[in-house]
Amino acid sequence: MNSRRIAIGWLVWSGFVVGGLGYGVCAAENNRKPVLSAEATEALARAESSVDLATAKKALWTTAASALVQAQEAAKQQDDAAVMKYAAVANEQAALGMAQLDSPLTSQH
Amino acid sequence: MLSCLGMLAFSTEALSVSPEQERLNRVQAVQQKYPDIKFEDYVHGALAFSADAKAQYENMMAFPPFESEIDKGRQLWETQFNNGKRYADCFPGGGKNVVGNYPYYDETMKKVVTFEMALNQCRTNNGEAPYKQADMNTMGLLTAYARTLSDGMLMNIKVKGGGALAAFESGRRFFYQRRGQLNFSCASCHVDHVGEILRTEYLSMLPGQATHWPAFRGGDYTLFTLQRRYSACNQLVRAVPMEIGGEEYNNLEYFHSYLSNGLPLKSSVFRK
Amino acid sequence: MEKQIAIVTAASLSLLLTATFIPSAQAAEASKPEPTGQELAFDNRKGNCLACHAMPGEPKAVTNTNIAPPLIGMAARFPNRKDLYAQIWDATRANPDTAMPPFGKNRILTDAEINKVVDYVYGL
Repeated sequence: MNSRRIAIGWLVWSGFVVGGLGYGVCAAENNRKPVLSAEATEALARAESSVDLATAKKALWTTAASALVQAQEAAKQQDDAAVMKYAAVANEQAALGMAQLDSPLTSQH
Repeated sequence: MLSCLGMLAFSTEALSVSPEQERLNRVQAVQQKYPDIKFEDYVHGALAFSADAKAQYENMMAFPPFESEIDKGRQLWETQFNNGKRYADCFPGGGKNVVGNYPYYDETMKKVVTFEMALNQCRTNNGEAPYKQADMNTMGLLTAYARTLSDGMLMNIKVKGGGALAAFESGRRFFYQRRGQLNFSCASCHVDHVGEILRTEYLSMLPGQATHWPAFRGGDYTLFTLQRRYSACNQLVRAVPMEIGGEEYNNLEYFHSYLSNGLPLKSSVFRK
Repeated sequence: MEKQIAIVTAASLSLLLTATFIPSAQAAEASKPEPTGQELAFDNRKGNCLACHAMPGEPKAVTNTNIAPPLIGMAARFPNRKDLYAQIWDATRANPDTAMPPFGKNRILTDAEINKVVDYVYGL
């Protein structure tokens, strides 16, 4: 009888402990989750600054803008590979838009 | 002496020809390519190349299906502000035959002022909030009527002084600068391939392009101010558009309107 | 008894851990058949050739355009296939004032897509 009561007590307590432990693990996981790989984070930051620069130079292409949106969406899904893919497109399209400013004016013949 | 020549060379490169020479060059190029099209018909743009399309347009314009929209604009124009004044009080002649003078370069503000800006100045001077220039349900409809009061007036844009020239030149560069992933300038189509057919549509000529706005476009007669059209064109070539009513488009409209000098205005029209 | 408790504890712990490590769902890319060279050439979001080029020998090509040279006899006009590839990749190299978009340089089409378009156009 006595040992059974102790056993029940243990069960209740272990439930708390495990629950607490579990909660701790969950919380740690949740904090870690939105963090992308360092590589993807850097690629996204680079794409964002390229798009900002192209916007400031009034040379942004819709393709760069939409690829950046896709990269940012992928970041919310913690999809490293997709972030890398779309950030690279955004970065390249933004760079091409800025380089276009140096092309000669048309129709000057 | 040499440095003097250097300066001269630099300034001619920055502005290769005067605004008037630029206009004459573009008009003459169209005249050479299409000697049968009269100068005054340049206002019809793409329609000038097709008698059938022009006839359809004239039929439609006899009883415009968007007449009720222009009426909404007239109500906006005639409604008194809270202080009892009206738009007509802000313009000489009650707003009749004024639009051909817009845009102009304002020496005090040091910027180009479009007709839409003047309408908003009228509002704010009379204690009203300005309209958003991209809002077709307010500014768009208002101009769809207000511009009709200048029907028949000849475009009469002036470019005088350093500030005005710089604004003109900024608009000129915009017109000839390639932009967007597809890498077109406005001129790629409307100068280099004017009158040719892009899949099924004729490409309109630069002179005259600024005279017939706003337009009700397509099967559902969607209202487009000139600057909304700029925005749509930019998106077609995959460039993020500039702000409607912002400095870039205002300068472009200044250049664009100057290139339509001498041609009669008409509002509000149908366009495909 | 203590053994029983330990088992229960371990079981609930592993359950919790499992729940925490549910693998993130990968969005399965819908598998569409790869477009052909002709489809890429006609698609107005891709090659959009018919906006500016007629194809007099191709009955499926519907266009009134007269902007750029019609696409016909291409093998004779471009004896070197790589010249046609280069023209589509960046037409501004041959003519700085051209209206033709630089499909490769600006990544409007991928290199693989350009190759398919070249194969198709070369047969016209």
